[in-house]
Amino acid sequence: MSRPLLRIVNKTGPGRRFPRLVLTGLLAVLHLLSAAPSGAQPAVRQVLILQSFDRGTFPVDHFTSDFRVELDKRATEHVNVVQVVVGPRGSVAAPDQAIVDYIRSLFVDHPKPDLIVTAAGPAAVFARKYRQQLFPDTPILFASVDRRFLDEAPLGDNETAVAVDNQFSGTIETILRLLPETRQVFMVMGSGPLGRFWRRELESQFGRFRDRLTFVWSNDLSIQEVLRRCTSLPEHSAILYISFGADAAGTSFPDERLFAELRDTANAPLFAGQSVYLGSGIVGGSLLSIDDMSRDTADAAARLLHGAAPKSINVPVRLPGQPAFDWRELQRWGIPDSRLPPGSIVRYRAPSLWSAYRSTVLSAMGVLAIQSLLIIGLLYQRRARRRAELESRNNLALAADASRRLTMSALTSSIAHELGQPLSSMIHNAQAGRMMITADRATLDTMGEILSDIETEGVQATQIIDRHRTMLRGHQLDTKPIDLHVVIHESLALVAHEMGTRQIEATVNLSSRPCIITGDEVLLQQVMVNLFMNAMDAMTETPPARRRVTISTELRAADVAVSVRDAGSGLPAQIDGALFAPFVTTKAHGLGIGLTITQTIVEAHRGTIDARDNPDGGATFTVTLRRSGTQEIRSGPASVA
Amino acid sequence: MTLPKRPRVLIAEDHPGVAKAVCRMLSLECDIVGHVADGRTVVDAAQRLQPDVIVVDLNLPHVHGFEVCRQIKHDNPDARVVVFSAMNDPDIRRRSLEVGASAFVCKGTGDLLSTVRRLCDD
Repeated sequence: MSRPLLRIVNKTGPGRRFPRLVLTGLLAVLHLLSAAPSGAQPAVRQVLILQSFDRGTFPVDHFTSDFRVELDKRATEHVNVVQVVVGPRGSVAAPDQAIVDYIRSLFVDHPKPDLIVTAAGPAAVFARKYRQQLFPDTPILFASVDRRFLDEAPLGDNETAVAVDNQFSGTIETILRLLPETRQVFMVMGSGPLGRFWRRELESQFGRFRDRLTFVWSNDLSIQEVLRRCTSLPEHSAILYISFGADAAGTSFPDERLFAELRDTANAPLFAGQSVYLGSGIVGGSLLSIDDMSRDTADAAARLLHGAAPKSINVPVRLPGQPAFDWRELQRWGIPDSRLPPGSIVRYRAPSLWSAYRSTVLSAMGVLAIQSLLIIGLLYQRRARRRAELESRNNLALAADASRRLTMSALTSSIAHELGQPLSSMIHNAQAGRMMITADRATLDTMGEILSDIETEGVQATQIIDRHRTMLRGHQLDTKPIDLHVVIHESLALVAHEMGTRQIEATVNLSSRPCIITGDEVLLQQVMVNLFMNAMDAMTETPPARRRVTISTELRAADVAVSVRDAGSGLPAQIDGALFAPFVTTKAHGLGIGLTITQTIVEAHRGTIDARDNPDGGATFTVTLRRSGTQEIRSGPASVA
Repeated sequence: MTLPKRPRVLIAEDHPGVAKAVCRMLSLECDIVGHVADGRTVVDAAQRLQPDVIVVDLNLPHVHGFEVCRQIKHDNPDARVVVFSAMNDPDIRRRSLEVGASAFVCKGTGDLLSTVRRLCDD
């Protein structure tokens, strides 16, 4: 390796950075003073680290800090580390010899180093070159060094290495795999001997890609020019970062700043060979793991400090590891996952909704689950309520059917009489007709009149049968707009004969206007018949001359009140408050469910029923029902018999 | 030759259809001297018209047929009253005779004319 590799680069001229070397030296001396051996203190091991670059180069910075941490873990004795930058990104403007002298001066009055570790290629070359002046008896460990830097001479007896093989040709293969149309690779590398070294090495390696790719080298450019070119590279270009250090103008440029610039401005995807760059803007590939190298070096250093012979330590050359990629860069450059090599690791993948908002999603799902359960519960409750309502409605229908049949059963004799009238009329008309024919006194007019009367009476009989059959038939609640006056007349017709038999006079005072409500015609007829029968039953002890039932309707703004007033004995005091309770009755024959059913039917129509004693005797039952908004009613009221 | 005397009949019936049919049938052999539909007017009509036979429906408005029958018989023990009812019940038949009716005829049977004729022949 040529001498320039070890030259300290300082664009501001010799001596400008010398104070930094002094500061490093002072710190090192303080380390040494604090570690001075004494009889009471445990042994302290001295480690001299020769570093290739000043701070700002990702791989070396990362390696050095990791190595010190890993060495502390492994060392059984206290370790003092003296770290001196000797490489080309120069901390000093002094010639190599000045650096050598400086290093030696650090150990003049102190124990010499127990181990020398070089970090990266330039430091290794420097150490080998000045081996005889830099503690030739001290074992030396060349760490984090590309094997090519050690190719000049075999390792000596007191030397060992943790070397790597930067296979940049593998990175080119990765570029072609991911971006098969790539035609040009812009090689970003520093200037000076390090740049020239890598260009020479890589031009040799990349010869096999000559047919497909053009390589543009930046080692002779200023950093500004490098960055500018990266913003306007031709289509199908890629950028491969090797190592920078300082540009052609001698300006050093920390990796962090360089990568930030490239990431923001470059118009082509960026690649590099070390794992520490993943996440800084490179797409990825098979990368050398600096972590692994730090651990290998710490292992070897610990063994050397324990007295192991350097020749006994053979660490295999480290190669790039499992391919790893930055998902953000893959997305940015439109590279599909399908092009990645098998077994690739993709990092920095945008978190899924689940991983990014797991707690929020879980909370939302929890809330949704609770809400769903509540909805299910409410639906179940609603269903149960509707079922109960349906059951209640069926029960009401059943009870109403039973009660209605009971009432109609009580009216059997009146039904017989009512039906007997038109039948009797028909029979007598038929007898008269037959006699006229027999006596030869029949005329067409007379016979026509007789037949017409028979037909009329037949129709009347049919209406009576229909009216009673409706009341006897099983019935489900069926609401529609109806005229309550028609219901009252139909109900009166059903009990008319019974009233006559009991010598009860009915007075009807209905409002002049139709009384439209929404309700069930049959059930409301049952209500009326029940109230009429109840009124009739209440007047058993009333003298015939005073037996009167008065039916009235009062039309109000929102509702209608139907009252049934009797001249009976009044409300029974012994069942005060339980008038509408089931099975409560004062009658010798009766189940006591008539008024209960009546109340239930009225309430099913969202109405009310109440009863009160009249001031002049008897009682009045009043049913109040809501008036319907519509004036449409079913066709034609039936005639009142 | 003198024609046989036609019975004079008063009919008390509140059902217009029945009343009309009965009048039509009886008028073939009888003279219908009157028809009333209210229990309160029957007794007065009977006194005024002096019919041979009074046909009385039981379920008359205001005054029941039995009461009508009792009053007619009270005013004129010789009056011949036929109780005419759709309720063919033995108790009603018995009670009709107890209150002074000469006969009970169930509506819808063919017995009314023959009963009137028989009562007039007696």
